[in-house]
Amino acid sequence: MEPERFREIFSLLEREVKKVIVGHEDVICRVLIALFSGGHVLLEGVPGLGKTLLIKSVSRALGLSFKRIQFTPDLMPSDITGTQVITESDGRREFQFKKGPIFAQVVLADEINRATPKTQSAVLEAMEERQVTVFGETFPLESPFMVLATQNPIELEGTYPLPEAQLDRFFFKLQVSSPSPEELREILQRTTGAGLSEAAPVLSNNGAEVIGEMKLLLRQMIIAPPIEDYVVHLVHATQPTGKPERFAVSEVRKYLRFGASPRGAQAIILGAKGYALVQGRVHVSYEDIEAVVYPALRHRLILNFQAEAENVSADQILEAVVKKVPRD
Amino acid sequence: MEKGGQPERLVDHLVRRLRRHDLWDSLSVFFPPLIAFFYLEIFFFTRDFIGVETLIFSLAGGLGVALALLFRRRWTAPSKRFAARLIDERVGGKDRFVTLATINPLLCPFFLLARLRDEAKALLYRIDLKKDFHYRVKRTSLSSLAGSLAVILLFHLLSQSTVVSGPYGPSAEELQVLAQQLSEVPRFSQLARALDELVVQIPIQDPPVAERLFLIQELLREIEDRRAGGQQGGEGESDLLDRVAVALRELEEGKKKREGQGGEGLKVSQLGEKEGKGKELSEGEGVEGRGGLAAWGGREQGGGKSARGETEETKKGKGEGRTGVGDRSRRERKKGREMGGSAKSEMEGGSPKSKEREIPRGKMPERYLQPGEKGEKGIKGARFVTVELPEGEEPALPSGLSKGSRRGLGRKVPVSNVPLPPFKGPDAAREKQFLPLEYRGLIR
Repeated sequence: MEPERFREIFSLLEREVKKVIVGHEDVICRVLIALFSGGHVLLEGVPGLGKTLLIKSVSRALGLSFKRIQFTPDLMPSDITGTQVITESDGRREFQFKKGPIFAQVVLADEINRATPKTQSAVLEAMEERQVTVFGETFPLESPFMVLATQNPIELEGTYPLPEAQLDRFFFKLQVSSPSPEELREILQRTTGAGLSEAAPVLSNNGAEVIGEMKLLLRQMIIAPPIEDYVVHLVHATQPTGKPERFAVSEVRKYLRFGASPRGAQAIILGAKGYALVQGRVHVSYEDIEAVVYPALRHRLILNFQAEAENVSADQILEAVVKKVPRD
Repeated sequence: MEKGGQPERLVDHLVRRLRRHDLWDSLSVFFPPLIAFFYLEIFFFTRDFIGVETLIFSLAGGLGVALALLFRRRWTAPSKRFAARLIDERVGGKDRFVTLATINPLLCPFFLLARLRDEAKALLYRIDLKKDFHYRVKRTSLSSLAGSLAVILLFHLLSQSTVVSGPYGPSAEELQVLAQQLSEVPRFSQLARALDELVVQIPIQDPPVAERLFLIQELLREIEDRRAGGQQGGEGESDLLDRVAVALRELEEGKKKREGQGGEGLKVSQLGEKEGKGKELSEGEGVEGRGGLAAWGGREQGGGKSARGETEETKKGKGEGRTGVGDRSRRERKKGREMGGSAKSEMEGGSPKSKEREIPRGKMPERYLQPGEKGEKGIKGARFVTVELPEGEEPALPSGLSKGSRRGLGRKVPVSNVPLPPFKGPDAAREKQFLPLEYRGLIR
């Protein structure tokens, strides 16, 4: 696939989603980049900002199968993965695997932090291995597979924060912010009128194949060794422990318990490649890295008590890291 | 050339250009101090301060250090990555040139690489290496040049000022004055002529030669002969001879120093001399008051006598002063020693001209009055004394004294301000110590 074709499809997808979603251009762009990078996205925002609608619109525009799982405290893992049920046919009873909602190309895990860790971990294998094992039997998931999870940052009562291992499996963590007055006016006009607009599928029949080609092109993007070094330095600078490094960031030592994992570096590079393609380039620049470093690393930094007490966010620490790590 | 070429070639061109700039920078930074160093070395060599070996070793060392620094700077020369980044910044290449300069082409998909090259090529019109990356003289280079020039100029100024001030001996004018004073004494006319000849023949600031030293030594020998022969008429002539001898010795020493013969040893000897002078000066300062007092006393009395020989103190002063005869010219050059020098010249009489210049004119200060003498501020040395008067003769209290203070003083104790006459008995103290102001009124 040519880079121009990639941009064209990407623009079409964006346009279709924007028909439904007002504002949140960055979130839409990064959700699509994560999709073409083969990652999963965690969306965080207060209720009513259109997170679920955004995901539904994306899946509809992509023309991929879509399932929604509403996570609740009593949700069981089998409710997600599926289970063996006894079926009767021709007078014979037999166990038959009933696929759960995870068997879709785009899965919306709504309010994922409301389910118990046991249930949350049920999606771990699916997210990482892209397969589900039930009663010893493994079932591969259809490609492309993407989990889009949402969580509410304010209603923490009765919630189970996602374990670090699961957080690390999300490619990006995107924060959905409140709309501006102009955007809100536009939302009201669109949603309170007679006609409701819906996203039309951009990739109809061969959607999965096209997405596969786009993913391949994204991985072929050119990245210079100095820019790779920059990513390495950035990720390394988030490590609070270990020997003092060249780019010691005081905020990291003060507020972090754990830094970013190698998956973080992978996410930065792939995300930057996708971002560069979207920008119409065939190579990654430092700007692309800095554009994706926040969504790629913010959920991978484990803050300590002091940071929480002082209300220091991961983004603030990342800002300090980006500022202190030189480009060359 | 650059516009039509490949982006990678442009980066290579820029690297070479930047390395050249770096070389110029290095040269411009290290060259001026090196030149200054060489200049100073050669200057010292021509003045015989250093030998040939020292010169060669120091020149080689300076050159070695400069080369080492130069090569060290060369190691830190700009890399390809740096040059590519500069081009990116110049053309707004968004790291296209950095990418092209650093990637391994074999590991990249060809169609993407070709496209990247095309994109970079399209930006080449925005850059002209000769114009955008022309050599600019760095501030460090200018500072280095300015510093080196300043060092050379400062060195010159200092060396000239030291030569003008004549640290190696008396000036020609001083020698001429001495020659004139000698010529006034008929017996010393030959010496005066020889000294004149020396002054005329020898430009003092020039480097000396053996003949000049010989002349000086001849003159010194003659002075010694005259002293030994007892041909001097009076003390004034003896002093004059002493001063001439000291001036000649200084001149001789200066010549030797200039020639660089045992410079260090000479310095030490000069230091020793200075220490001796310091001691001498302190003595001189000690007698200054007395000598000065005697001089004033002599003038006041109008006897026209020389201050010398009037009192024991002045004799002592003269005796001490004689050791320093002829040191005047040296002392006049050194501010800190002016006082001692003037005191001695007063005591010893010196030349009439200098004496006239040095004797203070106008009213005599109060401090030179003898105790009991009346000055402008009253009787010198007047103290309050208590005199016990017969009972019943209590005088009226002074206006400023209260009852309480009177009680403190004791009743019926009258007060008198009649000064005590100076005690001149056989037990009189040799030294008179004035009562400190703070004890007056306490000690009775």
